[in-house]
Amino acid sequence: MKLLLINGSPKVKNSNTAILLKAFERPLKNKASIKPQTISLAKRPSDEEILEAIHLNDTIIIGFPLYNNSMPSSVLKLLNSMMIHKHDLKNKKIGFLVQYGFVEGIHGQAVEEWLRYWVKESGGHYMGSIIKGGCDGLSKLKKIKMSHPTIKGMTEIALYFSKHHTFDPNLLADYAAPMTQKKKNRKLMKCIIKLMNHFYWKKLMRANGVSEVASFARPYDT
Amino acid sequence: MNILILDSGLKETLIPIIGELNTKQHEVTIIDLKEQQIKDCIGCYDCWLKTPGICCIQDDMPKILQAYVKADVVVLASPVKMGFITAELKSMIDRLIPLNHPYLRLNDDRMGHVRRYEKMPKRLMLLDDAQNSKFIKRIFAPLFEQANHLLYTSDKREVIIREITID
Repeated sequence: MKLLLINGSPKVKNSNTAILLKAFERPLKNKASIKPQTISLAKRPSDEEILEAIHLNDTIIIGFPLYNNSMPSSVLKLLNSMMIHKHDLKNKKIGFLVQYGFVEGIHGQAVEEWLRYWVKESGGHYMGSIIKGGCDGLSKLKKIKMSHPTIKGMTEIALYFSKHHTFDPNLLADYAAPMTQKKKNRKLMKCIIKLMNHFYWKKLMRANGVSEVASFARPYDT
Repeated sequence: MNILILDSGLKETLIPIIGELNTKQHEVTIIDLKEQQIKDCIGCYDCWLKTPGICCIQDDMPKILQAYVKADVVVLASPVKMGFITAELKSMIDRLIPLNHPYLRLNDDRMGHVRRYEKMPKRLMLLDDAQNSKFIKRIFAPLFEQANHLLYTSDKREVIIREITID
């Protein structure tokens, strides 16, 4: 298998998508039969570089952060360009990684349906989409342990992939869970959200000298 | 009403709609997104954590944000391409993040972000292909807060006008 991993995050550094793709790649490195190549859209590769990489590989996984319930515009442009050259996608295996901060799996569901449709239109084979919430803070961790649930889950998906050359739908479903918040957890979730806002977002603001009050600025109010 | 139309390719199809809105004494501004310089969001979080509400990229987007916040209604107009909106419109939508605050909130059964501005315009999408728009509806419906947010150029003109101008 010739595997191409495309990181569709616009971030040059501190990319959560990069961390997840690396976690996916790690168990594959020992398999001589799988040679992963990685391209990062943040490094602004030329169209020629991207198209050549697609041409040379038979399995493509595109990872991206969720922007407005879907892929960032840079990834949309990539997909539009790939579709123009769809002869190079025929029978190739294509899968995706969709990651974001919100914890529920449902946020990735709508775009997953479109990605499935897009691959079908391209003539490629859809492997599935790895959907994972709760990924906002990954790049902020000092050390990312293999035992971290997000990394552990990705490793399992990668190990299955290395054997079967596709994604296990059961592993994907477990990894994306919980799909939504249950009513009975409402009070608890509101507490957790308060803590996240205080210990994560407020902390980041303060590090930039922005107070909570200042963070609510409305510069375009007339 | 102050109506902002952000068009990424419907062009001539919009002329009769704009004409009728003008005769009804609405203030209509139309911005052709293909003529604007709108760079892609770089995910720097400046608009949330450094210069709250303000994007660090200097292009045509700040003036669009200003018009967006001032408007009573915003119409996002786009042809449907391979079941999705144009990249130009998606770039613009991605650059609307300064209108949100980073703080999380619980919206019914899932997380969302807190609003920055008290009053936001009613948002509608105007597309040219009703048949192939189901993915657009599924993806963008949660971001729009009212029903009937999707309009089609094949709809009767009075329906389009009514949906845009109804309170």
